[in-house]
Amino acid sequence: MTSIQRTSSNATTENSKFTSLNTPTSHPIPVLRVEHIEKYYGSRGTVTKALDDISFQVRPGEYVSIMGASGSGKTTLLNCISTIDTVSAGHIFLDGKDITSIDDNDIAAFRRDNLGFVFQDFNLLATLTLEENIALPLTISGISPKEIDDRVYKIAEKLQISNALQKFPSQVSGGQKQRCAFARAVICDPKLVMADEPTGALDSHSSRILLEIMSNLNKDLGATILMVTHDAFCASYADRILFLKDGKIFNEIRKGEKTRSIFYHEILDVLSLLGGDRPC
Amino acid sequence: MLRKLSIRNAKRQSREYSLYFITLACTVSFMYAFNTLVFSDMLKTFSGAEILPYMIVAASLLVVLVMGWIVGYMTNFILKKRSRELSIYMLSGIPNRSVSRLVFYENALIGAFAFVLGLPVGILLSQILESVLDHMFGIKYTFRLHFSWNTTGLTLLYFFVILFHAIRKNRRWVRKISVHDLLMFDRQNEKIPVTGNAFAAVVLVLSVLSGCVGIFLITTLPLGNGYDILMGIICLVLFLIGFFQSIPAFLVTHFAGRNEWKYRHNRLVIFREFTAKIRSTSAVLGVLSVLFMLSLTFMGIGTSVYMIADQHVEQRVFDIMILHQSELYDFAAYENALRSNFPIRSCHSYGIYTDEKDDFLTVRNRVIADTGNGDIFLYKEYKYDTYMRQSDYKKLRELLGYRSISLDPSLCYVHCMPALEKDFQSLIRERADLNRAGYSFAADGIFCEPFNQMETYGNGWDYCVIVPDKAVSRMKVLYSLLAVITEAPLDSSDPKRIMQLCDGLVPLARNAAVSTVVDNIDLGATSLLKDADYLSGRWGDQDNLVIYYSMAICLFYLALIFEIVGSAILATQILSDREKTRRQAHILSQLGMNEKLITQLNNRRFTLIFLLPLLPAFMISGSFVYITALKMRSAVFHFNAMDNHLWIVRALGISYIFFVLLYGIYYIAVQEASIRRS
Ligand SMILES: Nc1ncnc2c1ncn2[C@@H]1O[C@H](COP(=O)(O)OP(=O)(O)OP(=O)(O)O)[C@@H](O)[C@H]1O
Ligand SMILES: [Mg+2]
Repeated sequence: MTSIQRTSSNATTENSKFTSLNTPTSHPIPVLRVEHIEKYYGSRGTVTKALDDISFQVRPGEYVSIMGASGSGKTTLLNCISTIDTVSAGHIFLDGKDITSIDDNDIAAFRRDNLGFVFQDFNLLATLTLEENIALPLTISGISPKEIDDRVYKIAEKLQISNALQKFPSQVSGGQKQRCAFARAVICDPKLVMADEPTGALDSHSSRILLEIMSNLNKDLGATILMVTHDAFCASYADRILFLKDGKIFNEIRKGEKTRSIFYHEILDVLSLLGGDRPC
Repeated sequence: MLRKLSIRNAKRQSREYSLYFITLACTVSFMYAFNTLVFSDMLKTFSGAEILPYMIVAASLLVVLVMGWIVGYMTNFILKKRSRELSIYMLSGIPNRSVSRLVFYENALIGAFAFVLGLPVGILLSQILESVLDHMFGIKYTFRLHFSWNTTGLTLLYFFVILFHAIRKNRRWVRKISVHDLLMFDRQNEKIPVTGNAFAAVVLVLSVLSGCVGIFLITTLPLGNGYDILMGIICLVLFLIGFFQSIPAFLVTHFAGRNEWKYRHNRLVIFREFTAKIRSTSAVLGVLSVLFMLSLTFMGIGTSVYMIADQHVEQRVFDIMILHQSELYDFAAYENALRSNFPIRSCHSYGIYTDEKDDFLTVRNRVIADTGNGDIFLYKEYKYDTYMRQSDYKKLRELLGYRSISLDPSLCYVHCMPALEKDFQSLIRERADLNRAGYSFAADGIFCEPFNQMETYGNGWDYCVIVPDKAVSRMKVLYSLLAVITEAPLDSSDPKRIMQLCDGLVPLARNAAVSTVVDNIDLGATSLLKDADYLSGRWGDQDNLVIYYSMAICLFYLALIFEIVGSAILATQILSDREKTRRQAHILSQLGMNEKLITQLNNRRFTLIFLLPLLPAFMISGSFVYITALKMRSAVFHFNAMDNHLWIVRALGISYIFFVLLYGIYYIAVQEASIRRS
């Protein structure tokens, strides 16, 4: 319980931002910088404030998890960062570039070069083989077929789906599908990999394999991961966890040198503090 | 409550149903428009037109048959797409019987709307059709919008039969279906991945071969009996089935492994989606191909028939022509009668002469024999070459407004059908001694404008030698002619009036020849001319013309219906995937493909799917039309009036363009609808 600290975003002023949220490390430049973003839904009368003045930063190579009750704004936050949705106020910097001001023509290219996505329901194209699904973002970037092949085989090896590459999504298990989706997300070496409940549709065994793989990718390749999850066990793989409540950052905890099981219990404690929604 | 729900449903489903609805409405419009001809007073004034109503009714019955099946298919298809919704009704305790009643109301409502909307459009269309007919028959079109109860009743009857069948089939289907079945349909909608298959290439090659054999059998009839056509049709059906079954697997076997190819230019998604779509709809694509093939064939043949009829009319350059046989005749009595009843611009009477030479006739007969039309009519009058005086010729050219030419009064010339020009030219060149009454032939003296020569008893038969005026003094008069050009074009009912005005004038019906005995030997030669004067001209030989035009109209009717129905099925098939397409676009957008490119990709995919069933249809219909047009032409003209086959290409071109224009409307509708998706 000791590490629980309330992070009031109001307190985060321009000057204190770099020091208050980040422990000083060898990576002074954060890959992601979210500053006072707000997001409103609806029009005329009924306005929902989905995000309320959220600020945080993610360092390169960090593995951050976002937790919170249903409706707390997790998906909204992720969508804003991933440029799928726009913010109502505030700024988001990815690698120093303000993504809230990228114009519509460049947004696709920006997404392609900088971001990778993984979703709960895989979002694979059913008519493409796993190999082709993984290759798809590279073909969009216009990379040479030879290089595509090399990269696809390399990543498939890492994600343990080499033997299923020629199959179609309908012919493989959910775990394989999700690993394929993950391979597709990281094949372009994105600056940030975002995952919205990636284990949501998987059984515990498949979940565990995926989480191990994600963790390995994070450690070996230094992939920066931002993962939304409901599940405390999943979250315990992360280095740091942000808790959302009613569109605000309610709390933040770090794993530090703790073992995963200690971290897991810590998460459960915070969740009970949050109250309400507590699956698993 | 149910009724309200079905109205609300019909509204909500309007997107799914919109193309189906438009197709129904169009069918009503076309049916109404064409069936007005069944009750048309205008047609009753023509002899020979009695056949058109029967033809239209027969065509309509065929339409009812095809549409009945297709409407049943389409509504069922849409129902299956809505299986999730239906299963929710059933799960929430609404009994099957009520759900089926709901579906019944929905369909009946859509049908009623389609009828109500289609009818006024049909009335407009019937006016357009009438104006086209008036143009065909040379009648001045007057706008006379009128509504016919008879036609409406007939259309309603056809329409009712079409819908009744479809609705009943669906009611039964819904009544029997279980929730489990419905859920299965929902799952079945998922795409079956296409995997490569070494057999595919073999099947594809075999099916294409079978298609070629089929076309060969049907077009050349090597056995010369019904088996040819039967076998040919079987071969073509095998071709279509084999083609659409094997093409996706064939494409996958040959291209899926080529990363070098498929990873470039965003081909990957199009390639996979296209092959998957063919696989999941191969049967439908086959049926569509047949429909389009029929439509194109009918259109092509219809256009050819129209062109042949047009050629007939075009060759008859004089509005009125009166023939008197054996002597130079004074047509003054006729001329006066005509002048007091018609605005006559100019007229000229002259003689057609003959002697005992037959150089040109021999060449002409040889050319005809070469075209394969060996069994030509023999006419008593045409045993030798025919002649016309230069002064008459000049006068006639002036009458027709043709380019004025200077004729050397010491030379002979020839006016003939275009197809004879080359052979006559070489005849003149090779035979330097060739002359008539001592006058030799001009080197470049052959003219080929339409000159009322295509049929017997015109300005000669297929050709006429133009000789100096003095040359005819020793020749025999074959017959004399009065050629009349009127101020305004005559219409097709005028010949009747003229015959009422002039006693003893009979129509020149060229088919109804009388067999005669020449020199005591029955040569099978015929003569038409007896003791009467004969009337011909632009609207002569109406019976044949009316039949041609009727055929063309019916063929177009069927072609139109088949095309809109086929296009509607295709469009519905594509739009039913809208949800899937939307999801896919979303994924691609997340992977960083920009919106413009995604739209472009979708459009390209639709284009491919739209083109695919056209491929075999164009191939097969093209050869059908070509062969049929040739056969019709040689049946109609004893001798080629068109100097080459370009007119068939033109007929094909016109019908293909027409087809593609109409098809394009559906194509654009699909693109619009898929853009509206989000
Ligand atoms: N498109 C939208 N229009 C209107 N309101 C929306 C929209 N999307 C989300 N919201 C609202 O914004 C709030 C945050 O939603 P969000 O989807 O981000 O929650 P979440 O944390 O992802 O929930 P869950 O865990 O259930 O996925 C909710 O109150 C939701 O009702
Ligand atoms: Mg969510």
